[in-house]
Amino acid sequence: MHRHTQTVFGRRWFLRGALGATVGLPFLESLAPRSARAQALTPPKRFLCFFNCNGVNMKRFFPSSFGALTPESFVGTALEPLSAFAPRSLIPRGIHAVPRGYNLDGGAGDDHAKGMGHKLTAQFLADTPDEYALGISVDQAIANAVNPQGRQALTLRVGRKKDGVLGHISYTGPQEPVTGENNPWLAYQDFMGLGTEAGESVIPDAEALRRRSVLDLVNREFDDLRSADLSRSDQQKIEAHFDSIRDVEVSLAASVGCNLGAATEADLLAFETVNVDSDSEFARLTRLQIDVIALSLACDHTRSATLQIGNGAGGPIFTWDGMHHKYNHHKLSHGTTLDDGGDEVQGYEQMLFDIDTWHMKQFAYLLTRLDAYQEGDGTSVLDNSVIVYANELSDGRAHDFKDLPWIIVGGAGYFKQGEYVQVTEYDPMRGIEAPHNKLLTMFMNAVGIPTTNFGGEKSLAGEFELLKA
Amino acid sequence: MLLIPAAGLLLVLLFGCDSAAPRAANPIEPVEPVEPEPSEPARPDPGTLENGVPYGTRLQRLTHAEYERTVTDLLGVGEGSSGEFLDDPSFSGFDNNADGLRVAGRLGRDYRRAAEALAREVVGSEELLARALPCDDPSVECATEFVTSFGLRAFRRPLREAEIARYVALFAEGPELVQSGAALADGALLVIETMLQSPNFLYRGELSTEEDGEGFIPLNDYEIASRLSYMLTASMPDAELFRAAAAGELTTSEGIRAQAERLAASAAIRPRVLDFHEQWLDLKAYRELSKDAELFPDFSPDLADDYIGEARRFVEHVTLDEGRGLVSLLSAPYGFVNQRTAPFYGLDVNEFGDEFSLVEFADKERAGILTGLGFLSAHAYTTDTSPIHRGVFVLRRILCEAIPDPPGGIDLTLPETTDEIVTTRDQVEVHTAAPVCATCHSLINPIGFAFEGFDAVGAARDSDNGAPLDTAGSVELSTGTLEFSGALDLILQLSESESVRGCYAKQWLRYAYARAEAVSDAQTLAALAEHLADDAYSVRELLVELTRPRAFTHRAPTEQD
Repeated sequence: MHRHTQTVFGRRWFLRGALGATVGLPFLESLAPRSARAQALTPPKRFLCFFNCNGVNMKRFFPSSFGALTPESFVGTALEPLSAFAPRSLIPRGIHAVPRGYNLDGGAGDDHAKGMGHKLTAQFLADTPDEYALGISVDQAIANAVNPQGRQALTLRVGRKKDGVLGHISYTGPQEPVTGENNPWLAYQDFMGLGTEAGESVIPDAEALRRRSVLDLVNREFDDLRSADLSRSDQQKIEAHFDSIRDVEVSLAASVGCNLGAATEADLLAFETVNVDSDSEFARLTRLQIDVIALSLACDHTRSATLQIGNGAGGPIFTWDGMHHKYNHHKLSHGTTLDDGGDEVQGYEQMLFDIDTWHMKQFAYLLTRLDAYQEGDGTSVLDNSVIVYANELSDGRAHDFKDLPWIIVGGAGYFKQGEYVQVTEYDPMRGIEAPHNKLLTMFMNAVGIPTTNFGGEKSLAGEFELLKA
Repeated sequence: MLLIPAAGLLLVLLFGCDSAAPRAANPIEPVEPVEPEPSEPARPDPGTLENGVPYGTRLQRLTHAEYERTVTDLLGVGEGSSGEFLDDPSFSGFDNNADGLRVAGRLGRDYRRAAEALAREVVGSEELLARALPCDDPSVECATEFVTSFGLRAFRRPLREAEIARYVALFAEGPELVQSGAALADGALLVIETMLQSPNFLYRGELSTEEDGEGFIPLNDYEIASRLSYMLTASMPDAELFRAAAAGELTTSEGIRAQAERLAASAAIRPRVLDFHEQWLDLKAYRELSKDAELFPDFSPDLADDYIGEARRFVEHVTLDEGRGLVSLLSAPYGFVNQRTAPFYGLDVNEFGDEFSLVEFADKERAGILTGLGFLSAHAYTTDTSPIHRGVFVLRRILCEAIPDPPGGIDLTLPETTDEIVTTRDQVEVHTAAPVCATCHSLINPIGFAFEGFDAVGAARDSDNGAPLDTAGSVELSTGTLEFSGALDLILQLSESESVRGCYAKQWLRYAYARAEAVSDAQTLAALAEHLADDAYSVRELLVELTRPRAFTHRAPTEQD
């Protein structure tokens, strides 16, 4: 008998959109309600982490004083592109990673490895060459509990594939990293249930029927395996595999109207997958991934997602949006011409500020997309979501795990809005007092999964009361 | 195995931490341990028994490369079919670790897309369809014959009655579900696209269950056939292997040996042998190098193909053409050069063409894989060499020493050159002089310094920043001391080192068995290491040897947890 995830939010939530959406946003037809009951549901809560690497220019990132946030608060900082969302943002200071870096809590991995691997898991890393994290990440834990059909969280990335812990932030379990998808066209095709013919907006019924027949047979083969005396790990393997192909069970009529519109679809189709790893496609790929991830949340294909931009100790050479850099993100985060050494790069701090600003423009774009999707009860998808900006490190040059940059937007009614808060001034070099795992715990609670302590050995129970609505 | 607990503590003190006890105000809440229900008395872990077999997965998913080879052999088409598959995260330096290979997220849909496209391609071609079908009418008899014969090859074993019935029923749905007008093609399309998505195709399942008298489970003929073919050729069994399996020959050690020797003697092992060395020596690190254009005008990042090419050609020549072993891999005094790489070898460009030619190196100049341009350039900076990176590579990959990454918070910038700090060796020595660094750097540095006779692009040199070179050194390993005057001397000693033989054997076992080594592999590894002392012991013999232990022919009982 295979696992079927029973969730509180078992029914799929269907978007009701306004006719004639504004220019540049997807046109959403009003969907015929599947039943009167469906209309009475409240929108589900979603979680999304927008993840950057190599730290930020800490001197020019944050507002100048604590307290209420207004659109003016961000002027002159890297956050300026987020100004319109300032009243809905929450920026905590003083939170540090656990397990801590600088070898304070021991454990495998250098500080880049820890920055990547600990961030969404709050677990130690395996003592192997790959140093993968030893537990599930918060996005996958959320997906397990609330996603339609128990689907895995959507894990997208931009940038070259990097092996090992430096290239992964999401884990379905101990040493089970999820490699981010870097092809927005395939991701879109996937959850839209699109036909294999380019440009088809809905799978023809015949093809859908055929796939169901195929799935039925394959499921019986899985049943043969389920009744064999397999280890727990092999059983889990089968279930994950089956989950990966069960999408055909969903009635595809629901997808009608929930799409990105002809212009963006043409962009996706035209995307050169052969260049998907190259810096020249980095900016365009980021935009398309944002389009896809926002739609997937809005159309309730997934309620949990991450977008990883770049890699730990990596990243592109930025040559767009007014930037003409010669060295890649990691080198600039150290201000040096080499990854571990070399000469100082003149003006590297300004370059980092420009990089941070560019990332904030993308984050703002994501928030704008999410806010444009109306849930039909007067709220937007952004209102019902916890959208989190996170970074591998705070000060990249020192590989710092302390006082990490976090921005929480939307808040889903759980987090305060419009504030820049000093959570603590306690020095994490002396002990664990404001561990980031408490934020992970709060993310779980915010989307409706009661949790007291998310993480591993060095995690602390409880939440940051200062941050709660 | 090195342990540096003292170093960790010292580092904490270095940073001025005033307390090693972190939890002043907030004790961590204890997590309730969950005790499993006790049932039968615990069996000893079979991975700890001499010549035993460790617990492992019974479902080994095909790697993307294996998928491509398999569909090509099965269908006659398939090159590039895995190009858009979701990347696998790699494990333990090799990308085929069975525990790490799963189907999740988008990959299931990637397989579906590929299966549908491949099936369409087959039924769209008269030739390919005729290759797959044993008969040509859409009758139940023909459908049964097709499902039975094609299924045997697709699932790499005979289908059970129930399975045949399922697929024959599916075939019959062809006209209704595919509607092309040709019942035979429709039925074939359905069967092919479904079999390619079946777990019986995508995984090598080891589902035998009968224990022998010693607590292990012998694999059946077909399971062994798949192990042989994937270990040696990265693809499905060939016709001769299927014949041997059907005849019951693969449950005898003579039968296994005969097939192993046949395959090992053939060209079919070339992809595996090259792929192993490519992963072991991390040839992909040769891509995306950048070097200072003024200092190294001959260099360009496009040379990556030549760096990888010369290394692969060398490995191929030594292991397959000449049938030589580890000693030659490390210390054979020749290499492969073309017109683009000639300048770095100090050779006349005009004597070379586009293709690689074998070049004998003058006495003590270069030898083996560690004096190839790729290794020397990839472990160097844009302007200078990096003895630390070269040393760490040799220690980790050639000697299998567990060298940890540098501790956190350390400034990795080397000091500037001055009147006293002249060469790269000087810079590294000054920077790693602190006693806390010595545990690792007393091993890393001497090995790295031995290669200082080669600059950041792998060209030979006899001075560094105007000063003479000092490439002499010594390291203390667990198996003895290596003392050397320079790179060639070090290389010669490595080629004769027990540690190096043991390491090479261990790396091969990990790759061949798609898992980490266990205590139970000790005998196998010791035997291989002993054989490797003889340079005439080729990789072909090594692969055959790996089909002999119980770990190849049996599996452990299912882990109860």
